Order: sequence, then C-alpha cells, then structure tokens
Amino acid sequence: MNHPSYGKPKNRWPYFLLTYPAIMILLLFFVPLCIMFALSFFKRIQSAFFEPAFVFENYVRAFSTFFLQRIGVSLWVAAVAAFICLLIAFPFTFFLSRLRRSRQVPYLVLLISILSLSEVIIAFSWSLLLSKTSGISNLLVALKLLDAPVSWAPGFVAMLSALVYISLPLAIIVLYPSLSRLDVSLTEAATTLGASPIVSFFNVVLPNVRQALLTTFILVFIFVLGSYLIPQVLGRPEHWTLPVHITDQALLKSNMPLAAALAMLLLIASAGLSLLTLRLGRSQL
Amino acid sequence: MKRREFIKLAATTGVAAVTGLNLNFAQERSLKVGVYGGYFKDSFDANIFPKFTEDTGIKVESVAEPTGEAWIVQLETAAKAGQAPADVSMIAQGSMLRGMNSGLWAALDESKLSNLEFVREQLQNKDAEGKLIGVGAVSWYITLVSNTDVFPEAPTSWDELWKDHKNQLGLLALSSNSYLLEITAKTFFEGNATLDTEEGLNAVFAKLAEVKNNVQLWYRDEGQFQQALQAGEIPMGQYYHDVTGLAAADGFPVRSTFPKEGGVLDSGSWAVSRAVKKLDEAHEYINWFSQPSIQDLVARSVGTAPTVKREFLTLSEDEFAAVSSDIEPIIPHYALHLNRGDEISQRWSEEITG
Amino acid sequence: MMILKRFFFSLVVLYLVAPLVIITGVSLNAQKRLFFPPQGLSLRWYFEFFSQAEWYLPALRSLSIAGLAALIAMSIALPLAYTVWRYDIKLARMLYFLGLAPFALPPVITALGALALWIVLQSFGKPYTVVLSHAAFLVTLPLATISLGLQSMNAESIEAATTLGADNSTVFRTIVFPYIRPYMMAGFVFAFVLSLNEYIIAFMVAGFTVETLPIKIFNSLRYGYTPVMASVSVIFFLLATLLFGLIGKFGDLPKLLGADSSSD
Repeated sequence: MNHPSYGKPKNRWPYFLLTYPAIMILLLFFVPLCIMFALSFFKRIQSAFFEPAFVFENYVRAFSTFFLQRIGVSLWVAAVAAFICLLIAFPFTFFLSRLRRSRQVPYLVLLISILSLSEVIIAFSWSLLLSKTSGISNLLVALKLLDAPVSWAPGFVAMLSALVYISLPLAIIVLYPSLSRLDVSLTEAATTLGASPIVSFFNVVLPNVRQALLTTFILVFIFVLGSYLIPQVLGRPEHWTLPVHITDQALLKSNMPLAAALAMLLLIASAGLSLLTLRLGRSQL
Repeated sequence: MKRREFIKLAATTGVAAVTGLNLNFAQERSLKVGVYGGYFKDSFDANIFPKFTEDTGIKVESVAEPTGEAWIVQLETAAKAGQAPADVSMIAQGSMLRGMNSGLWAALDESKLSNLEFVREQLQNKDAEGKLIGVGAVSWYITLVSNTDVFPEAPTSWDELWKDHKNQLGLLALSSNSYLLEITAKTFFEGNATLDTEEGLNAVFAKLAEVKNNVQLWYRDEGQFQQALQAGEIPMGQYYHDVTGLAAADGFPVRSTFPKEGGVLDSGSWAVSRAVKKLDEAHEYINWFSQPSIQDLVARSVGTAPTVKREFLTLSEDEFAAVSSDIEPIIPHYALHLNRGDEISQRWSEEITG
Repeated sequence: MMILKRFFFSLVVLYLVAPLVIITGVSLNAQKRLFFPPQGLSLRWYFEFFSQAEWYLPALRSLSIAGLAALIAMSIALPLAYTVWRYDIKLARMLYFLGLAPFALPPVITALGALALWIVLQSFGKPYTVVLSHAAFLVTLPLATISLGLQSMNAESIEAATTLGADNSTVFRTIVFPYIRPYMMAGFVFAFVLSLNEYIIAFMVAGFTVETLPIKIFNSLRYGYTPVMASVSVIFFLLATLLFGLIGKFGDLPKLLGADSSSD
C-alpha cells in the first residue's frame, strides 16, 4: 500500500531528499561494480601484479574447463543445499507460524541470532561438531552407538550440513510472513469437505505459497552460492566454490583481473538464474 | 528505545571508534613488525621482541602475517595508497621476488647495517641493480611429520607418502607453498632439473597424483592440520619443523622427521615496503636481528634455523641439529612458481587436489 | 500425526542448537584444548577475551564499525524508503532496486567491487573504508524494514491529517516517524549485528590492516585453534540474542518480521 497521496512530486524537495542516498548508493555500490567490470579487461603480469589494458585473456581463462567446472560445482552445491533447506524450512515454518504469537518469539530470536552469526563462527563450530576430539561422535560413543570417536570432516556431507545450517534461518525468516498470513481455514474447510490432509495441502496450501517458496529458494541459492568459508574449512578442494577461487585469485595470486572476470561470471549467473526462476514462477501462476 | 538514548548510543559508539582505532598509536619510538601468526608469532612476542625493546628502547607491535602470498598482495595494495600495514615484514623467498618485480621493496642502506657481514651471502636479497632489499631473518624446514601415538616408528623417507596410508595424510593445498613438486622430483627423479623440461614436469605431476587417495586433508591454513595432527585424526603429513617442535615441547604426541631426501628449506627475509616512513627504526631492527647472539636466541627459542654463518654462532652440535639437518635440503624452484605460476597452479588444482 | 509434528519440530531445533552447545562446552575447557565434553570447567577463556588486547581491540573495532555503518545505512535508507513510498519518481525506484541488490548477489562480488573502489581511490587499508562499504552493503536491511513499516501504516490517519491541512513535514513528524520508529530500530539492529559478524567484505577491503573480530577469529582458526575463539563466539551469540530478545520483549517481533498484525 502506498501513501494515500502517492503521485508525482509538486516541487524539488523530494529530489533534494534523494541526493544523499543517490550519491552513497551509486558511489559505494554501483561505481565499484563498474570498476570491477573495467578491471576484468586489465592485463595480468604474472611475476608481479597488473596494469591497465583492454584484453580478453582473463575471460578466456575464466571460460576454461577448470573454472567452468568450478562454476558448475558452485551451482550444484547451492542448488542441493537450497533444496534440502527448503524441504526442512517449509514444514518447520508452517508449524512455527501456527504456534501462539508469544511462543513464537523465542524461536524467532534464536533464528535471527543464528542468522546473524558470522560464517567464521559457524564454520568453526561445525568443524568442532564433526571432529574426533570434540564432535558428536563422542556422544554416540557415550551412548554405546559407536565404538570409537571418528572425524566426519572435511567432506561433502560435512560441508552441506553447515551450508544448510547457515541458510535455514534465512529460509524460515523469508517464508515466515506468507506462511503466517496463510489462512488455515482454507485447509480446514477442504478437510471437512472430505479431502485428506495431504490432498488439501497440495491443492490448497501449495498454490498459495508457490511464489514465496520460489523467492526463498532463490534467496537461499544465492546465499549459499556466496559462501566462502564453509567450503574452504569443511569441504575438500573439489568442493571449493567460486568465491573461494575469486578470493584466492584476488588476495593470494594477486590476479585482480581474473578475479574480476570470475566475479562478473558469478554476477551474470546469479542475476540470470534469479530472473529466470522468477519468470518461470510467474508464468505458472 | 528513546531517540535521546539512541543518539547517546550512537555517540558512544563513535567515541569508541576513535579511541579503539587510536589505541594503536603509541607515543614513544615504535615499530610494527610482521611475522607469521600462531606459535611462531607467540614465541617472537615472548622471547625476541621484548629483548629488542630492552636493547634499543623501541617498542614493537607485532602483526600476524598470513603465510603464502596474501601478505605481499596486501603490502602492495596498501603501498599504492601510501600505507604500510607493517614497517618490517618477514617475507618468504618466492614473495621477495614477486615484490621485487613490482618495485614494492624499499632499498636498504648497507652502511646502516654493520652486522650484514654475518648473514649468509645467498640470504642477502639484491634487486636487479644490485641494491639490497632484504636481509635473511630465519630459515625453516618443511618436513615429514607424524603422530607418535599412531606411528610409534618414525618414517624415514618422503616415499612414505606414497605407501598404504589411505586417508591418513595432511598436505599443503597450494602448489606454491607445499613444494610437493620439488619433493616428488627429488624423491623419484633428478631433482629440480626434472621440473625444467616438459616431460619431466608431466612425469612429476603423474607421480604426485598417485598420493591423492592417501590425502584426507589438503590444508590451506596451518591451524586446521595442526589440530588434526595433534589429535591423531590425520596422523601424518608435511608441516613446519619448528612449529612441530614447539608443539611437541608442549606435550603433544607429534614428531618432525628429516626424510633421507632432505627437508624443504625456505627462508624468510626482513623487507621494508616502499611506503614505510620509519626507515631508521627499521634499519636498527634489521641490524639488531642480524647479530649472531640474537640468531642464537632465535634458534633456541623459536626453533628456526639461523641465517647467520655457522662459524659465528654459539649453538652446540645438539642445538644446531634440533633446528637444522646435515642432509642436503630440497630447495624450492622459485622461478617455476614465479614465471609459470598460473599454469602450474591450475594444473595442480586439476590433477592433484581436484 | 501430532507426535510426528512435534518430533520433526524438536529435531530441527536440536539441529539449530547443537553447534551452539558444542561451542559453549568447548569454551569452558580448563586447559588450552578443544575437548567436548570439556575437561575441567573454567571461565578463563572468557577472562582472556576481556583482558587481552589482541582480542578486545578487534572487538571494540568491530563494535564501532558496526555502530557507524548501521547509522549510515539508516541515514541512506530513511529518505529513500520515504520518497519511494510517497512520490512517483523513477530515479527513486531505481535507487531502491540498487539498494536491495547487495543482498541478491553473492557478497564476494560486493567485496571485490569494494576492494577495487578503494584501490582506485587510493584509500586501501584506512579504517573508514570498512565502515562505508559495510554501510552500502547493509543498506538493504533498514530499507526493507522501513518500507515494510510504511506500507503497513494506516492510510486513513494520514488522509485525515492531510484533509485537516497538515503539510508533508508535519505529517512526517507527527504520524509517520513515530509509527516507523520501531521498524527503524529493527533495521538498525539487523544492520548492526550483521556488520559485527561480516567477514568477507571487511577482509577484502582492509584485510590484515584493520583487524575486525571475525577476521581475528578466522586468523586464529588459521594458526591454531584456541578455546578463546569458542568463548568469543558464545559472547557474540549472546549479544545478538540479547539485542533481538529486547526487540522481541518490547516490540512485536512477529509483526516486524512481516506476520499479519491481527491475530493474538
């Protein structure tokens, strides 16, 4: 809902109001992306740093099999994590939003607090959780379910568990508004009319939240696509996602031009996928 | 929250910003020295820097450097903005060369370094014009390390990595800091010369790829491996001789062994970024560090090998053996990583760690 | 069905809490070892955090950066959200879209862009660069919460005030601002806590020259684990819980997160 007298401005005051946000957002967000775009055409000097130029060699390297595979791995990891995350988040949020408001609050506080935790802290706690000395396997040994403590990291499952962990609160928070506004009387009506709970779920609930589910999927997908520390600490080298390689190129190999080119690819991939998914979602509605 | 309280909170945070950020600027003569973080920096903080302050009155603020090339990339980026995150930094030989090529290092004044004569010739870094840009600080070895609980017998050769140790090894993840190509070349071929020909390089890569299944952890950060080695989770691998020694002295069940092919010898030099203003203090520090008596102290307390010629040192045979070895070391092929680094590291990711 | 529901719900909560339990346990170890369950109980790693400059300085630095960044983010978001809501201006809508964009992109892109910007402006390594880059990145949060507040406002009261002859600024001061204040507060807290925990942008922009707490934690992760890292993590989690808990206690958290205002 917009302002009741929403409309074209009658004087210059609104434009004046916009000057400061415009300067800040353009300078601090838009200009950097442009500089990065320019940088991606600079020339890399292998034994030193880089110099201004207009060459395509960074993109040639970015499109090599190796980096294309990295992009593939990143997209795959992000898709799997986002899917699992949604599978857990959807029913959980549904149950959560059915609780009394006052009982929801502690869970919401817990969720936002986890969401705000640094990826560093989460990577660290998961590496402990899965380690031999301080991990849950010790608990299983105490419960006599396991003979000796084992180490479960690094590996694909370890990385995935932490990625789902870090994105689950995000998914819940994003799903929360539409699920808590969902009118349960619809399902109840359907059930009274003789539909099984499962049928009424697919016929009544799902169509109402499809758009929310899609949005959440994309947000989580991009969130995971951007994770940098978890793949590095909990994954093996073949699981290192593109952000790890981008950061390596920029900070370790002093190859800013290649890092910029890879970042442009990541930008196009994530923006393109979001738009595509949104469009698909809209056409199905 | 009321608006007034909000403003108060904001103001306090602002003050904290200023004070918090200003706490670093001391009034007396001071010097920011970059050394590798962790055990290494801890022992410098405990044993070396206080002695320097005592001798010269210059306070030292130590900065934890990351290993690998991240530090010189930061130094270079900062120097472009006229900033220096540290006044003197310990820089590994590969990074010395890269910094030299981009003109990062300030030339040092040899007349202010009276103790330079003690430092081994090859560890006095010179640029293309013959100007001094770095002075050897410490040398260190990458050796074969193992957990003594899991392996009661110490391994004797690098070829142990190729034996039946499925998922038991921790190796450094990057071609430019693990020097595993050099190790493979020395163990199974003719040494670094093999890496100069294409067939040789291919053969070394193929041989090294055989260890893949033995590797549980390709570590980027030392802490990761050290924790796992000490716990016995990953009982064998390559690691730093000095740090392993310090951990063993702390009571952890770990040991470092010089394989019969030799440990990998790398050295750190003290170097000064061109953006540094405290040149006098920097020279004073480097000169102080080059004294044989200080090099003795470093070898004894940090566990690294000295860069000063052996005849000036007072280290006993045993003490020298603890930080070094008579076995001829493997020397990293710096030129290979510098000039063909992109290609090598990509192949590395594809064929070895990938 | 009910039991199954309960079981699933508890299982997810357990999954969410497990790492926190481990990390709390590890932080209580008496020795410099990371054991779980802890061997011997001690609070020494908490004291260590508050007594050692290498830990509390980065923490102070992070707190100041987060406070300033959240303030700046708010100062950008408020006029923008208001103009978009009040006026039909294309530029405003475009800026609004750009303001939301950082959260629709992997942060490494924003981080690399920021690094490139400060290199070009020759300011790499100066503390204010982290503040500004964080502010630009986190603008999305107050922008989203303030817009949510504005949209949920009762239109009739504004209409009534306008018909009674109140001008724009009076309406803003007397009706709009008091109404959106809790949303601003929530936006501020979100931005503050996220900046406090943000790693990759701070790392790219200032790296080892301005050591924030997440960078410090990651650096100690690299060089060897210590229980202080666990105690710091616990402190940070508790701080976030405290801030959000206060919002939950004094404000309507479900509503701030977009639930319908009606029920309960």
